[in-house]
Amino acid sequence: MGSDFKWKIVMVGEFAVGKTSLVRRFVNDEFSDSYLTTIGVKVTKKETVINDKISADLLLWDIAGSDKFSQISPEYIKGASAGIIVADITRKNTIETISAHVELIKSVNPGIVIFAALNKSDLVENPQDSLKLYESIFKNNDIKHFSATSAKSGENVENLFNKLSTFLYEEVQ
Amino acid sequence: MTKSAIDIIIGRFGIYYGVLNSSMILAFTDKNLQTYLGLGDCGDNEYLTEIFPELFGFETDIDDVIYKRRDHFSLNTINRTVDSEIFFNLHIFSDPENDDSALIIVEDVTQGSLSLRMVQQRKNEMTLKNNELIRREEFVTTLLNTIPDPVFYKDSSGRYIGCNREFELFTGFSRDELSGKCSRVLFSEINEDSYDRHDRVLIAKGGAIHYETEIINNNGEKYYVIINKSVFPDSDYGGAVIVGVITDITGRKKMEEELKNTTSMLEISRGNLRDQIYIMEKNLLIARNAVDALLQKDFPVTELFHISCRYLPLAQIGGDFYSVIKNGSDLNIFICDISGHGVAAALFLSLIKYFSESIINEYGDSPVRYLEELNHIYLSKIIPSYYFTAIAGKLSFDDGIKFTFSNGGHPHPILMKRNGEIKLLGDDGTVVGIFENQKFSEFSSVIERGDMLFFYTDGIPETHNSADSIIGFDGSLLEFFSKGRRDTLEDTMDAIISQVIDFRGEIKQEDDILLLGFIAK
Ligand SMILES: Nc1nc2c(ncn2[C@@H]2O[C@H](COP(=O)(O)OP(=O)(O)OP(=O)(O)O)[C@@H](O)[C@H]2O)c(=O)[nH]1
Ligand SMILES: [Mg+2]
Repeated sequence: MGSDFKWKIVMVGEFAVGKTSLVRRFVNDEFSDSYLTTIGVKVTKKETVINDKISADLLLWDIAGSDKFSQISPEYIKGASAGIIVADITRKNTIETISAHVELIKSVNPGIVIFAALNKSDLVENPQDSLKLYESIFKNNDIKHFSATSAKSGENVENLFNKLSTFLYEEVQ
Repeated sequence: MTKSAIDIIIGRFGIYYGVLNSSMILAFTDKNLQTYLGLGDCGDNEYLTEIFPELFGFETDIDDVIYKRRDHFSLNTINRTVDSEIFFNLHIFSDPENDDSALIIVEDVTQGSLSLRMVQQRKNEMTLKNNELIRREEFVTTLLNTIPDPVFYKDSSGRYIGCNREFELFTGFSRDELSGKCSRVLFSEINEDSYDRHDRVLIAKGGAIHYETEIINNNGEKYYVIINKSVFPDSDYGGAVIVGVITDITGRKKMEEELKNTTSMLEISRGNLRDQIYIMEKNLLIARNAVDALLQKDFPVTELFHISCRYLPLAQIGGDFYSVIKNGSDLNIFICDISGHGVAAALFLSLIKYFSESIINEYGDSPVRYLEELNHIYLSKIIPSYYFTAIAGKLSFDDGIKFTFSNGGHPHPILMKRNGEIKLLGDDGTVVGIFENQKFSEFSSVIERGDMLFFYTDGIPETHNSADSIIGFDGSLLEFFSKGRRDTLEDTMDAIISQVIDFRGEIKQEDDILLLGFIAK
């Protein structure tokens, strides 16, 4: 029947960093190389099981990528338990704007839990180097967890969402 | 108008509605909404967020609308896939006729959103491409900047498009200053004609060229350079882009200049060297003569002895010296061999001569004290660069003739007795002129009539032959001398010297050869 928990999770980040692709990989285990930009918001529900016993519904809000000219509508952030800020590991500017995204979503939703993903890790030799390089950005912005993901290969994608579910679950305990 | 007629009409405008009660249950009063959302017959009277999960989290906002604490709530541009993609805005209005319900209005915005997406997509792709270009440009710039030579690129009319850091440093112009300008404008003093000509040829023929030229940069510094240019077609820049790499050969040119100067200086100094060698040779000749002059030509005439000498010096100045001086009724003999050749050795030799003569009155009586004193004076008066071997001896007449001597590392005197016996006298001793307070020993021998006494320097025993053997010092030397024995001293000495020359054969003389002989009359 109904799940034990239901959490709204918003995918935030610059355009074309792979927000849609991460959701698609996680929910449908699919990936496409072609790019179709997201307009507005697409909400996808995914049921997960935490610690083999707790069921939870994740409402994944895939929203249009933002840049300095088009900001995310604050309405989209409201009521979210968590935000995953996605950046493209090969595009420095998408990583450097992480702080701005954090600031924006926290201004609307101060209690939100923030995770971050450096996506497209399949395109670089040593994704861990980038994580090291930008560690201060993550640390300074109270980002609870950050990892290098690849929607293309699937690397760390499931892990990212599972970690987030567990984190949210433990938070309410 | 019936309700369903109204539903159909507003449906045409893409507007659908439902009614929400205070328990958040949605009723599809407008069946068109059900169809629009692709729900078929299901979903009626479902919990709101089951139908619109997008509204999860907005429960309080919706409550506020139901209870008229606020007029409406909207969520725009919701994307779903129902057969095909749909986009809609979701509005919740409070119901003016009912206190505890609200109207859900779904406004289809698919057309507008798809158009918007096209535009947005184009824009995003452009930005990505642009970023990629910037990144490539940055990459190319970084790449160019790692090239240690100045690099530039120009369009087909010779206007600079870009360059690397080294080119900026080299020309004294910044990239911005260069951009869009011709070298004609920037480097006014270059032979522009040839510059342009090269470019024209390059564009016409393609491929690559290189040529040597001179450049005066913005700071007025002149450089000799080799310019390597190649061309590739590019429609954006008037048909072709010329890429140039400058190799600075100013250093090389300077070296060439310097080499030229050095060569002529070398010519001059070679002349000088010839002069100097001439002078040195002359000096040597003078010194040679001076040393020869030091050597005693006439020996004291006594009733008891006949004295003779053979001296075969090297072309260089030798280091041998001897003296035989009458001291009362005695004869003082001194022979030495300094450990070097050349002008400096000659100087020391003259000092030894001077010292040896200055102490003869005081110490001539005791050969051992004489040698010790000579050692002392030599070491105390000068800082010696050469040591020497020496024998100080005395022939005295009492009952018979007695030969007393002291040896400072010199080859032993040879006594050739009249009866055919031959022997080396005394001991080796230490060389003179090294150790302060050096002690020497004294030996003596009786000399009889007809006995011959020889002194010599190591030139004789060390004479080499082509089989790389030497005459030697001990038994072999005595044998050698014996073989030379003749009736007279003069003949004996000549025989010994010619034996030395014979022994040597083809080998050239390596040291001075000195032989000093006495015969008791
Ligand atoms: N190599 C690689 N490409 C990826 C990865 N994730 C996404 N992409 C590609 O990146 C492009 C953009 O992906 P999307 O998922 O549409 O990006 P988005 O963040 O949703 O973009 P917007 O909706 O415009 O904000 C697509 O061409 C994807 O195929 C990845 O992990 N590796
Ligand atoms: Mg997207």
